[in-house]
Parts: sequence; structure tokens; C-alpha cells
Amino acid sequence: MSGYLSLWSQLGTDAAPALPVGWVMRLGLSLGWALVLALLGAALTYRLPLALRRALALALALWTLVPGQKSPDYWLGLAFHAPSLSAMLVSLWLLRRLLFPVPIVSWRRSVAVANGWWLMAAVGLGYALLLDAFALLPVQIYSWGFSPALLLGLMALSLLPWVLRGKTTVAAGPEIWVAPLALLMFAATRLPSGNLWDALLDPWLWSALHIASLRALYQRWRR
Amino acid sequence: MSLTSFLRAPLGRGLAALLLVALALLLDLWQRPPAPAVAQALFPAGAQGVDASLLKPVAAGKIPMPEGALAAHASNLLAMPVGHAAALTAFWFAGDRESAPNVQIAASQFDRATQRWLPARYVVDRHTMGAQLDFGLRRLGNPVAWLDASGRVHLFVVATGWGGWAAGRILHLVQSSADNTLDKLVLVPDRVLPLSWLWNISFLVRNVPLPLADGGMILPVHFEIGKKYPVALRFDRQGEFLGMVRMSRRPYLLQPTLLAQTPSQWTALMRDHRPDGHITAVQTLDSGRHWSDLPDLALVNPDAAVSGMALSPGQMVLTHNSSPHARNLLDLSRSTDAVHWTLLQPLAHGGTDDEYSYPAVAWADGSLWVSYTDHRRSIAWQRFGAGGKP
Repeated sequence: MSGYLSLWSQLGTDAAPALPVGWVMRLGLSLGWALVLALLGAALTYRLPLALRRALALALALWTLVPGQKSPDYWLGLAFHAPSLSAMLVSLWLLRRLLFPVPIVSWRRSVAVANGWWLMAAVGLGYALLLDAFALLPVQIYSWGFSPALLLGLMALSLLPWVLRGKTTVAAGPEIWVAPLALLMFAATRLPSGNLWDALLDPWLWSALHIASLRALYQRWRR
Repeated sequence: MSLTSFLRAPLGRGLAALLLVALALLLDLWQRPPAPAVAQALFPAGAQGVDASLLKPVAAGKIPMPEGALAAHASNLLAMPVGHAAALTAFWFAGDRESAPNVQIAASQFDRATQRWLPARYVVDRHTMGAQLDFGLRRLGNPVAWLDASGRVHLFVVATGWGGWAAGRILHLVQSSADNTLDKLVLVPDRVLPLSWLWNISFLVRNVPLPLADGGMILPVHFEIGKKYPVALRFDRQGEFLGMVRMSRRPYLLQPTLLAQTPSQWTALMRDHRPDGHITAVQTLDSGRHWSDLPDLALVNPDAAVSGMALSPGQMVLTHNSSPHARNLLDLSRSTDAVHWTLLQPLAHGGTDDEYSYPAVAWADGSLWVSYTDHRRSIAWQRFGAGGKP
């Protein structure tokens, strides 16, 4: 019985958090902002020739990786800390789409499938975390992010669409793997803060998902 | 059967998903320290303790300021171990003014041999910390110090990002030098404590931790922007973060100070942000797992910091501003239950334009030590001993 109790305390909210070590945090912060800034650069210059956009994205990423005050991540970290692992994975996926384009049919299909319930769930989660930050909920959602039980539950939940729908979701594209991969990377690295919610969703990604959700709703309405 | 055909079958995908979940859990548990035992508070004066009603003034004065500092605020006192050259280390922030770009964290030590404060020096500056963290810090304030089980100094400071104090975060610094005498003390940043999803902003620290029997501590902090509510953070004997518990959802409570009645029953007293406020209180009966609101104390609070400690069971002291709308009266009171308070000693009484604020307390060398901000220009201190003897 005491073994079960010990296992429960190790998995539940009594569990001690595991936080990232210093050099991993610094690396995660620079790498995260390098990917996000490269994506912003590539997206905002979509009218320029492809070779120029690739060079710009690369230059932005390399500039961000420079240590010290001359790097943008020094100031972005001051204001916003590090991007979530999900934001890093989404940036990688979109960078591939923007800098190594694939036929437009595939793009539309993947966006259409990626949208929907998962987007709504992520937006809803952001609102819950925001309300929790201002102590407007009776429970403390953010502190659950230190518990391994949450990782277990969310990992299983994020893989459920693939398990149930298989071929359809595989055809949808790599975005279906953003949440499971972010959770797996969090389990290995504890980035960016040691709290699972910070790995899964950050306020900037949450803001961007509002736009993606509205777009998904519009597409559904048009169909 | 190839891997592709295996993953096409629902059973194959289910098994693969189970493997991924198990891998994530194993990676997580492998890095995770053991779950902590139930927290038990310690009393600085020991279980036998002292009679707080017998405390009388022994000495008083000003802590030396760093050269050129025009302003000083938010001092904090750290009792040093027996055998150390200093009885106390004081930390505070100093510079041209509060929130000025040149504000740094200053420190001084009360030398046991000479019974004097040593000349102050700066121990934390935002540029050095920013370079070590690889991201910037805009302003520094409110240092809170603690000694871990190995005798290392930990310092928690408010470090702001873009915005004022409401955009503050709690930066955890740890002693990296072998020696923590004042001239040798070196602190390096460990991390910004992960406390909020909203870019981790708006958590601030002010008061001393509650020491625990396992060598760890409970650090009281508060959320600042919009709603102000208190949170208790737990740390282990080496200063590793163990978790957080919200102490109340009332939106006007800040800067909690923790007082233990028994090892598992603690009360937190807080500054009240409301107009015509009183010192507010919350209580836990299960070592900080759950907290419940208590009625406001009879003591008024002009939206000003309070600081207290339980010296031993039933022997509590509290420093607080006792005029309803100004910080010109600063008093030391005592209590046996953390609810009913009796004036023990006026600390500083001035006219309506005077300000004595942000008190801090510590127990060292059989004495109660109090420090506070004097007109935002310097840090004053007073020592109280049983029967007026050090």
C-alpha cells in the first residue's frame, strides 16, 4: 500500500518539479527566438525571391544565436522569456513550408485538417491559464504543470487522433505531431522553464492561434 | 510485417502510442527528485524560546551606505551561523532613487568582534546578472536572503522586464564563492522562478522565508498586476524549488510574512491594498497544503509592508506601520496567537511627512534585530535583547 502511495505522490501534484539546468535554458532561449525570428523574417518578405528569403531567415537566426546585448534574444528574453517548444516546432514546420515550398493542394489540405477542435482546445487552454494567472479560477492550473501525471495524460490525449484515425491524420501532415513532440522534448529537456504548460503553449503562440482558429471557422462556414 | 504496415493497423498505432507515453514518463521520472515530506516549521529561538514581552532596546543606528548612493529601500536581514565572523548580513537596494537604472543590491555585515556594521558594498548588479543569464534585466529590488543546509547564501530579488514592478519576476541567486564574508561574497543567478504562464511576470518577493525542519524553507511571495494575491513557494535543503500553493484569492493581499504557531499551523499576515485597510491574514493547518482566509486584524495598515516572525511557540513579533494613511509611525508588537497584538515598542515615530517603512526582522545572537527604510535615504537598525541585555 505504501508503495502505491509513494508512486502516487511521485506522479501527482506532490511531486517535486524537475527544472532545466542553466546551460540548457540559455540554449533553449536562443534557439527558440532564432527559429521564431527566422520565421517572421521569411513570412514578412514572402514577395522577395526565395534565395533572398532563405538568406534573410538564416541571417536572423544566426544574429539571434550571438551571445550578449547585441543579440535580439537578450531583449526578447527580458520581455517574454523563451518561446514554448510548440512554438519552436510550429516555426520549424512553417519555415520548411515557406522556404522549401510544396504544392499548394497539400498546404490547403494540411491547414484544413490541423484546424478545428485542436485549435479551439489550445485557445481555450490559453484562456484558462490566463484566468489562473489572475487567480480567477478556484483551482491552480499552472502548478499542475509541474506534475508528471499531467504529462502522462496530455501525452496520451495528444496521440489519440493518430491512434483513432491513423491514415487520415498521417496524410494531414506533420503538424499533428506538434503537441506529442513538444511533450516528449519537454520530458527530456524540461524546457523552457520546467513547467509543462510553458512548453506546450506560450502567450504569443496562443495569440497566433486565435487568428488560425478564426480562419478555420471561416473555412468551415464557407464549406 | 514492415513497420509501415504495423503502424497502419489500429492495434499497432495503439502500441506505438503506449511506447511513446511510457518513454515520456520514464524520461520525466528519471530527472525528477523524490517527492518532499510534509513541511514542519522551525522556530529560530528554539522550542524553549524567549518571552517576547521581555525584549528591550539594546542598540540602534544606521547601516553604512555604499559610496554615492542617494536612496535606499527594502532591507532584509539574514542571521549568520554561530562561528561566522558576522552575526547578520543585511541586503537592500540602493542607487539614485527607487527603480533608477543604477540601482543595485547592496550588503553589509554586523561584525561580531567589533559589534559594528562593515562598510557596505554592492553584491548584485543587473548588467552582470543579465550577461550571465543571457537575457536582460531592467530593474532590481526587494532582496530576500536565506542560508541553505550547506551554509550557502541564497538571494531572491525582484528583477523587472519591460514595465514597472508589476512586470517583475523573482530571480534566484546562489552563492558561488567558497566564503560568504562580505568582501568575498559572490552571487550568481540560478534561474528566474517559474511561477506564471503570462511570460512569468508579476511575481514579487519581500519577506523572509519560514525555516523548515528538513533544512528547506517556505518563501512567501505575491502576484502584483491587477489582482494582488499571496503564494507560498517551497524549497528543499539545497534551495531547489519544490512547488507553489496559492494562499488566497482575495485581490488586495500582498507581501505576506509567515508566522508559525506550531510546526504545521502557520499564519500569514499581509499588507492591505484597500483604502482604510487593516493587516490581513490567512492560515494553514496542514503545513501549507491548504490555506483559508481569516478576518482582518484590528491593526490598521496604510498599504504598507509588514514583517514578523515566531521566535518560539506562542511568541510572535510583528513590525508594522500603525497610522491609517501614512508611514510615519513604525511599531513593534507582540502576540501569542498571531491574531491579537500588543504594542511592545515604538520603533520610529515622526510627523506626517516622515516615512519609516519596509521593516525586516531576524533573530541572531539571542537578540531580535529590526531594520527599516528611513525616509528612503538610508537603512536604520535596532537590536532588542531579553531584559535589555544583548
